[in-house]
Amino acid sequence: MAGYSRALQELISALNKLPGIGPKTAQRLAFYILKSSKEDAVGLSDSIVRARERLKYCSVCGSITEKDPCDYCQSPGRDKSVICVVELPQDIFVIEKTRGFKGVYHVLMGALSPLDGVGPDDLKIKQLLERIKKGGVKEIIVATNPNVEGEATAMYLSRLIHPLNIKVTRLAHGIPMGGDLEYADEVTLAMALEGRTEI
Amino acid sequence: MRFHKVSAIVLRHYDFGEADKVVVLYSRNQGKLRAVARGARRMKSKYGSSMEPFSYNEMMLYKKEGAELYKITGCSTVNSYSYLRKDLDSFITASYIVELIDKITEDNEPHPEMFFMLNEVFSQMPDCDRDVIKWAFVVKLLSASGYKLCLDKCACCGITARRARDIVKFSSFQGGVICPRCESRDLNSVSVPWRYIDYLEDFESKAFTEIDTAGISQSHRKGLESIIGSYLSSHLSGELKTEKFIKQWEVLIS
Ligand SMILES: [Zn+2]
Ligand SMILES: [Zn+2]
Repeated sequence: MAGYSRALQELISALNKLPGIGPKTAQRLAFYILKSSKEDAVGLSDSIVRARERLKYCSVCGSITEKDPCDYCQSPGRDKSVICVVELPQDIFVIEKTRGFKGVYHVLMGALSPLDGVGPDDLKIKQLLERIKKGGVKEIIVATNPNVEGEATAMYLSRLIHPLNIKVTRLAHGIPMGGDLEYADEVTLAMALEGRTEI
Repeated sequence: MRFHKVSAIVLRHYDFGEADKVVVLYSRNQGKLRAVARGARRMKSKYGSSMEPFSYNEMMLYKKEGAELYKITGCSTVNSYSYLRKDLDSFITASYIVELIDKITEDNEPHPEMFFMLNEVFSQMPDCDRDVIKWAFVVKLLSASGYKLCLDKCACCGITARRARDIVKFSSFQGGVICPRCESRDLNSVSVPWRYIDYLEDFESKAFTEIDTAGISQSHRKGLESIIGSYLSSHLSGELKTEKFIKQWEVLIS
């Protein structure tokens, strides 16, 4: 970045820290921001500061919220006896979009990964157990990702929670909608067969 | 641009860019390789589960002149070893094994024997004792990497080991048993029953399913864990991430 002014270098390196943004993209974004109107640039920086100041993690479920506890945890319209366990706060938005779930959430902040050294203590698993022990919970839906880490987390939670006499369910695995059977890999297909439902 | 057809096992992967993964592979003929799987993180990825750890695939890779990473252009799964991901204990043991291979090997150093060992241990895991799988794999792996244990003679002076007494000194630093005269050459050596040395010999030479595990008592297990652990750490820098995981795990299930 030789030859760039200090302010520009700082902007580029700040953008470069964002996930998935390499040095080239960071440069492109920086030049784009400089070219945009002053209001747009100030608006962007203000919204970053505002979001950072106002938003926090819900102390009950770990979702991102402006008030604590969050709307999901406080709303009388939501069924507190069903907890949907997700890896990250952003997974909640995806499930909410389905409009099919009326329970509450619990964010683990990751998934078990022996290869990355992420163990049970590094996730919000104790907090989940504490919620369960307070009573009133009938079902835990494990909605972790359908990959190795997500599966391991699901197996682990089921081993931990089963003895407490609470139903533990897992999102069904299957062929993606709009997909072609011939392109499905054998593991996905085997899972879809195992989890078949009567019609 | 050069194309390569490789038989390889996925050791692990990490996120790369927006939707890609870098997959760390252990291949039969080229040793450890790193390759980009474009779009592998998308739900509808054409790779499906073939880029998940432990999968054994036939792959087409290519690499531009001077590039650091290969690119995956084709992949068909030979054995997904999916049972290793469906049972927590198998998953943890298999993770330990791939981390070991990853730590002990360098990129682009061919070692077909290690590739066969990986396939062997993955196929035999469902029928074996998990502790024994771990120990036998460590012993076989270190032996294949040039750190073969010296068990029939003194690791220092080479004198034939005599079984006059029930116990013998084992030195992980010297890499095997040591005779009474050489004891002073490793003050951290430990006295172990000869039985342990027989186990170590079995671990090195027998197939995983052939090892007789019935007679390994709980106290033998503790002893073997300790000597094999120190033998491993004398050839490995830093703690394995899976070890840290296993410790947390054992606290919770006990
Ligand atoms: Zn909440
Ligand atoms: Zn000697």
